[in-house]
Amino acid sequence: MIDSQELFFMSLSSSDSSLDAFQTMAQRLSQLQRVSDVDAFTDLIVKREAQGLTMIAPQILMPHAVGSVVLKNTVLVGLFPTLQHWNRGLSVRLIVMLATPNAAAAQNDPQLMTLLTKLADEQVTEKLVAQKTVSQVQLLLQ
Amino acid sequence: MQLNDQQQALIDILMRQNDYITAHKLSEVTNTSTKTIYRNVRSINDSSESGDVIEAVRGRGYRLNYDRYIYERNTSVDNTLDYSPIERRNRILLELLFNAPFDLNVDRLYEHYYVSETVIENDISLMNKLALSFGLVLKHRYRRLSITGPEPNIRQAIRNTINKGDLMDKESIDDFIDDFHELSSFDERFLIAQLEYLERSLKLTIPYPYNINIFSHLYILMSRFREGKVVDDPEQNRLTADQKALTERNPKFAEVAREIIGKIGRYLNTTLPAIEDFYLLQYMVSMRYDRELPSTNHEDRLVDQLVVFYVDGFDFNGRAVDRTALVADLRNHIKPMVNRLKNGISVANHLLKEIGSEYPDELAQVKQLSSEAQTKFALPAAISADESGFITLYFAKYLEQAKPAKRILIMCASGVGTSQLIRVKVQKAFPDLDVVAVVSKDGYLKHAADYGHVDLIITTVNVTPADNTSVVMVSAMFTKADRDQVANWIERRDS
Repeated sequence: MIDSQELFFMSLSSSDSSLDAFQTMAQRLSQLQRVSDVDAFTDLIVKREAQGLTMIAPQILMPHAVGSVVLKNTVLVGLFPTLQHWNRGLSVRLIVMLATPNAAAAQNDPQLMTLLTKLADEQVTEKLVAQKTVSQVQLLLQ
Repeated sequence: MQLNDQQQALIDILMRQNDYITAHKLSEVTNTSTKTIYRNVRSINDSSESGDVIEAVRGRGYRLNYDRYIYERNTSVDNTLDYSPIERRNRILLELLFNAPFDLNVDRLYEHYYVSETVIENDISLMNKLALSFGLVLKHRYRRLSITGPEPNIRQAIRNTINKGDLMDKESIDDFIDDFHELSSFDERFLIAQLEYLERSLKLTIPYPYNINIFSHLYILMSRFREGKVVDDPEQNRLTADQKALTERNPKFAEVAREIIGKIGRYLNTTLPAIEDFYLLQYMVSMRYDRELPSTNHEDRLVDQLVVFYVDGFDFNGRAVDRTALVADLRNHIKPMVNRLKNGISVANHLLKEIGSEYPDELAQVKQLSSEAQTKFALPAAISADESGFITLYFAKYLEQAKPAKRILIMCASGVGTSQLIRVKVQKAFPDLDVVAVVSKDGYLKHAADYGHVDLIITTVNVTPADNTSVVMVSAMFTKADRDQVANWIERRDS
């Protein structure tokens, strides 16, 4: 069971680019008081994506950022109503966004490890992208 | 898809390769010309019905389409036209042996093979030599062939002919049954029931390949009494002193053997000679069981000496293997092997080719030791290549275990997120790898020395380590292609 204080869910509306989606999610993290600076955080996420795509399974992107703008370990899961097709041939249905103040905080977090172990299972990731609603996704990951 | 040895060797190389390999390189490895490679590739592809089994890309070379290969291998039709000359002779010889001493018409024997009279003549002369080597006589009169000779020799010849060729390339009793169409489902069920009875009454399980050995022995026995005529020779039916001693040493086994032979006799509606009890007993004492069986001191001494001879004589190349465990394991194999040698029982090792290509040096060493052992310990028979193959597997097992675990670093830009996920996936796919740490690229470049010796970095971002540590780039998904890359690296490192 993942602590709900750390794991949040939201539904995303269709967007033209990954940047739009990242900004929307960064704003949500800011509302949740997990991120102090929306733009700086989005910048970290985009820079990481530029180094190599973070597709962890078909249709699932795991953008992540490490930095002092993050106030607390947080995972925000966003589900699009349909499959989004972006630049670089990216097709995304689900975004699992990871935010952490420093690497050590993430590596020693048992709840985060539990979530990652679930995401390492192809049967789980296949099920995730087949879901229609956020609450169904939530049920699978909690 | 029917492949000759050269073609099969080519497929084996491509199967291990996983990536494209040039014709030039293939010709080096197989010690043939590139022309031969081209010809074999074309011929393999021509014989496939589902498309090219070996795919070629200009500038890169050849690669095996594994799915297609498996498909072709599994669907190739069992057609008598496809038999090689050796297989054809083996099959005909078997038919004659089963029918001995009755004769069979040459035209009927050959009706499915569509070969010329010259080929038949040549076959008969070769089969005659084979028969002579077993102390049997092949008679050819008025276009009829027959084999005559003592029953034990006939059985030995049948066993050897089945073991040779691909007839005994069996991994299970089901495979054996598939290849012997003469076996009716009644016989099959009856024989399996006998095996089960044997296991039940002795409270043990018979492991591969001994289950097939006993099954084929009983099958041969039934066929001999049904199709041929077993000459009732009182001389042969009397047990020698050694044979009597073996029976007395194993009273429980002898009793079960007697019961099973009795049942087979009733099934065939005849009385089987008492010597059959002993033949079956020979098989039973020559198997490897999952638990220790009582035996005499004299046998034990020879077994111990042999085990020590193999383990001391083997060059482990400086690797620290668990000798005590190896000795114990090997002892359990050598003990029934000694019984097999005494009783003239051969086992087929269908893995022999693979063992030869995976562990060529180890197999060569064991073969050498086997041949020395025969002279040194005055063994009653030579230790066959098949037996040496089994022994090699024990050495290979312990050599593999003695390999130090490879130290792996997993890296991404931040050391958080995808790399953590990849750690979980790597540990699942390669439990033998030792994942030392999950690191960020910057963290690693600044403090590389902190991680000690590292064999491989699995990374989702570009990195060039200062000390030339191997790097495998993977996607964050760690897909099958990524797994294959890591597996390839392991294989390259191991060889």
